[in-house]
Amino acid sequence: MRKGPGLSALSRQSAYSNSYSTLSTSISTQQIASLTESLESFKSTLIEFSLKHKKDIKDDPAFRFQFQKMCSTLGIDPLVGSTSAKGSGSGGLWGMLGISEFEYELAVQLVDICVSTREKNGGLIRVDELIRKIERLRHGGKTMEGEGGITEQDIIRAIKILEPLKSGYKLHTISSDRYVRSIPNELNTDQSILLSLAATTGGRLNLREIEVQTGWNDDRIDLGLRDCVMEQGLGWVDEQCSTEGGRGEEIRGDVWIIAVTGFDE
Amino acid sequence: MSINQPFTSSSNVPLGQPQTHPQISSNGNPTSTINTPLKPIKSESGFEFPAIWSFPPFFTLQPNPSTLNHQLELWRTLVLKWAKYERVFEVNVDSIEIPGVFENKRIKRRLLPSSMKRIFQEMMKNGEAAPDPPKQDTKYLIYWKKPEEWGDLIYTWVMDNGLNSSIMTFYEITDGDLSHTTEFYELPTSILRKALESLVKRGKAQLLEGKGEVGEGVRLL
Repeated sequence: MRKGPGLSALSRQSAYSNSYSTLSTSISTQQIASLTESLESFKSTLIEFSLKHKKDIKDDPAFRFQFQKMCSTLGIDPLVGSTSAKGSGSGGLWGMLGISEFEYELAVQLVDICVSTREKNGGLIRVDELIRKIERLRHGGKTMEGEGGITEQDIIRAIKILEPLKSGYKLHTISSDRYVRSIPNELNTDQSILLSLAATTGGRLNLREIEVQTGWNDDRIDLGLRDCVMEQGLGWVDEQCSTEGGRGEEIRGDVWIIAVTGFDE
Repeated sequence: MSINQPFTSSSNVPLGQPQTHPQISSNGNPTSTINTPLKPIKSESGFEFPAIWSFPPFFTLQPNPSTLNHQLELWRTLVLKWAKYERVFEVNVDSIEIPGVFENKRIKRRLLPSSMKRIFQEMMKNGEAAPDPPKQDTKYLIYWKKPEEWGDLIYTWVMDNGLNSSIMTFYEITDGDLSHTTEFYELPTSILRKALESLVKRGKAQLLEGKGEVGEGVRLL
């Protein structure tokens, strides 16, 4: 093809690009149409299924877990799908299922509880306490036994929803209990050891007991306790304890890791 | 975490620990993990103390500023609720008998006078307490109702009972035969005076100086 100079070349150029784009549009339209079709049929089957079982999915944690498992076996992540519904062109496939509603609601409530208790617990809260607080939030301040049935699995998924926000919500295991950490401040090894120690005493950390359990010297214990209280805000000082406590400048007494103590308010 | 291992060995059991808070602390058997969360406690009079009130460090003002803020907020709310429930109007932080809320005998913890002062300072910022007499820091009035609110209550009560034309003594308002069913029964004179002064400011009352033994009086307009 001769590439002529002058004005005519310009118009020829635009004619080519026009026909190319027409061709590509028609091809992709076809592809999209067939893709949409198969997606539609898959979608309708899935919607049918989940609408049929919507109540079970929302109300029955065991069923919800199974459904979740089925989705992941199929390679579908309902959480990712719910934000953008990639490829389907019509957002809210998962929104229709009422699943994301449940999980987003849970994520929002999780953040609510974590943020509102942060000053008190330094951003560390036991999962069972978190669930209790969320359930109470849902029932307008009343504690309902066994109702709603939020599980640890639900909390894990809610934390996953929060991941893209880079808010640093993480699940921690201390002793055998699960905790949610809502501050992206890493705990160092000594702090982690102190937390697991606290888990065996209902939250209380005593200088002498730590010494017996860890063999650390006083300075190391003092620093660890100080960090828990001053840096992390996880610990509360009890200066009226009758046992010998820390002797540092700021920490004089036992330190209680409030998240480990747990409150049933 | 591997640190758990040594705890299960009984040779490491620290012995002879004083049981200062028996319902919380380990029973000397470190193999059992204590998972019982602290619960609210009802007093003999029926007031419900929140779970945090059974948390020993709650009675030590916290060195971490952010924790302290939260703690003061909790105390402020608790003191107000408690005072309202028990109808406590005045607190002396140096009193030998520590007012109920400031001491938890079950866990052997109490707020020191200096800590109580700090809480009252916070309450003063919110208009929920005032030193009485002024310019000292041991005796405080607790305003679980603000003086203006007391003023309004008294005003409504006087109007409802058709006493607006007569002159009433302070004593009649807070301790008279008619008032013993009211919320302001036995209201301390210092709070009453502030309440009535707020009514005077709003043009709803006239204070009259006491004559002889009759004491001070007021006419509501």
